[in-house]
Amino acid sequence: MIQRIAALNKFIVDVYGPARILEDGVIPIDHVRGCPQYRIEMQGVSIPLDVPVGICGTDLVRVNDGFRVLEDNLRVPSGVSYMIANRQATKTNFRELYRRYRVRDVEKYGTLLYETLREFDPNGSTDPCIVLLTPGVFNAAFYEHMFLADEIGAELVEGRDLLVNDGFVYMRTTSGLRKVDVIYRRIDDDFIDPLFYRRDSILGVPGLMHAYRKGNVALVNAPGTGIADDKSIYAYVPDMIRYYLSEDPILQNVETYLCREPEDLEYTLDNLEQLVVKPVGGSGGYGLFIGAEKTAAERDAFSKQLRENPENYIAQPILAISRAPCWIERNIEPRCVDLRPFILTGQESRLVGGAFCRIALLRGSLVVNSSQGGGAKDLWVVKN
Amino acid sequence: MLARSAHGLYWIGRYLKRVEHTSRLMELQMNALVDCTWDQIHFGWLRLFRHLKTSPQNEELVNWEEHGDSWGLTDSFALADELSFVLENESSILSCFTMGRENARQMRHCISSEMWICLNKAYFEIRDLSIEDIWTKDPMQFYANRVQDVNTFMGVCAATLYRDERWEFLQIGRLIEHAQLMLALMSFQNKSADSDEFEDLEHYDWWSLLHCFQADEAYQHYFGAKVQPELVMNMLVADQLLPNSIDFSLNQIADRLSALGEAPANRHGAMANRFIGRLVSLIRFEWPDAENKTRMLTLAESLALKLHEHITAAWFNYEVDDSVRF
Repeated sequence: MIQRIAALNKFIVDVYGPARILEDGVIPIDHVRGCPQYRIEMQGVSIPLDVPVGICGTDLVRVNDGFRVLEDNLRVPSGVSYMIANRQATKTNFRELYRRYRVRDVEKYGTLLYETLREFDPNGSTDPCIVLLTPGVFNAAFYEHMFLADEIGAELVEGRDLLVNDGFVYMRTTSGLRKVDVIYRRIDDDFIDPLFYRRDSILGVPGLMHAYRKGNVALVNAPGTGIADDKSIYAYVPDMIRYYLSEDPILQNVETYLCREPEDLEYTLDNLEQLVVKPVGGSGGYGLFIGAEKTAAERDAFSKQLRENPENYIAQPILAISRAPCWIERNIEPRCVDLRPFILTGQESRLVGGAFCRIALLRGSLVVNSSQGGGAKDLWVVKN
Repeated sequence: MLARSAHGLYWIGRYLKRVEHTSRLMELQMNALVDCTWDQIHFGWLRLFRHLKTSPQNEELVNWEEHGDSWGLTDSFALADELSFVLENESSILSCFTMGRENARQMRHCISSEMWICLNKAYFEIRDLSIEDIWTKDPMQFYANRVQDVNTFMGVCAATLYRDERWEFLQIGRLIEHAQLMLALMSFQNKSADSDEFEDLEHYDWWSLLHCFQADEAYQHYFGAKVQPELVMNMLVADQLLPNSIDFSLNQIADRLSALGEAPANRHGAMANRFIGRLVSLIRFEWPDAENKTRMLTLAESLALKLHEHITAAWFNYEVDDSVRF
């Protein structure tokens, strides 16, 4: 995981900087610059610590011959609070069982997160002002935002609590305006600053990008990190690892066909029944086309769509994802599971011994996403 | 602390005080339904709605009242529903509980987990109830339980909330709400006592108010069993030792504003301090000699409203201008 995030961070710094990887032809330039997640405003911006992705949640699945990376979530990954809440529930309800195993602790995540965020302080002070920027109470992950703000002792702020004055970011407090050093932002790029991105956004802070570009405030994760977790770029991560680190990838990708490539498109169309097709900019399990679950007529209709807009899709084989026994309606039944470990990177990378473990609640389903009705389990990493 | 969080705590204090206040008076009114006259029942409902500055959502009830019909025993079921469970009525107990809890939900990182559990438990106890559920059982107990819920919550706050600005703003919200509601109540009571409309009002209404605000024992101790409206009024307005008196609340607000110190928006902060100073002096020093008590209460009501506005502008919703401290 650490190897992978190191390469992804170098890639992002590179594409918004000298773009060596593009010049050297490792990744086609149009794949990057034409990607909707590419933020031209980040071009030439000095990123604190050269670490655009401070918090990463990478999705792993286990198949017959080991683990595979399903995708990297490098923008605003969520779910870590559920990992901790699940652990607390297990410890409460299975006290004896838990005591018998030497389970690695996940509850120190808050401390690690605080230490990581502190390292991003542009002034390098010992007590930086860190805030967590949330879209607000109506966001599906608001519970997590609140939980994490509490864990790291940061103020939970909304866009309206912050303002930019003279290139610095301030928050309104009862003692006056307080300068903010580090923002752990849980708002998507599009909404973060109406002066740079969506003008109709009322969630963001006008002028925030200006302050960021001047180096007066750190944003974690940096804007524009979506360029590295776009599904069409995912296929190149093993190449990035070789290019930047001169190492072979330890964790393997799932075999991926880029439908924008004519050969891959033909393969996809010929083998639609054995493949799952995903929109490149999608997330949360939306827009998945699982060929095996569709009728011939549906596959034909989708093939047409695919031919009309091939650059918007990638295809992957349907995996035999590992299953785990789950307590479903008073029975123990097998369900597909995946793991989302969280990697924190500041001056160094840190992990807790656990992950957010998602399960597909429907029998036979491969879709574990919470937004698609997925459930969760406590995952134990046991000390050797 | 974050200004928006302070604002949220301030409103938690306000909403829960309103729950407690309305519940106390509803318990009194439920008691009146048992053996009071039609006029007394009508007066009780008018007092509730007028001083809470709300009207029933049911238009028929509004029309009847506007055309001079009394709200009597037969209307009481609908009227009690309005002030208990109708969410569209912003003064109803459920509505205030819901808003208070919603504020707390957004401020969970600012309050203790025990406060959240306590509030949540109280909220879920009434969320799915309706007036039918309580009407035929024991409505008085229902309202008494709500008072107890709020008292328990405030007790948990006192036991678990860190004594920084969080505590101060929660208390200021509670105290301002109390002062405003009591001023409105006393103003209505005083006007009614002076008007011809309620000339048959008996001592019951004064005595019940003493009982409602936990002042009956102190009153008896100092003034005996005879209910004298002027003494009751003085006690509820200006007694310095009675926790539910207006004077007591205003002095507590003054102390807490002073503990907060300089506000981020200086001008509004100074205005808030001036208004609380005027209110304290009005009730403590001018009230005893005032000939027109109603006018004084009306003036105090408008000052209390302005106090709220200046506190909001000074600490919560201030704009960035030269007076703001960086």
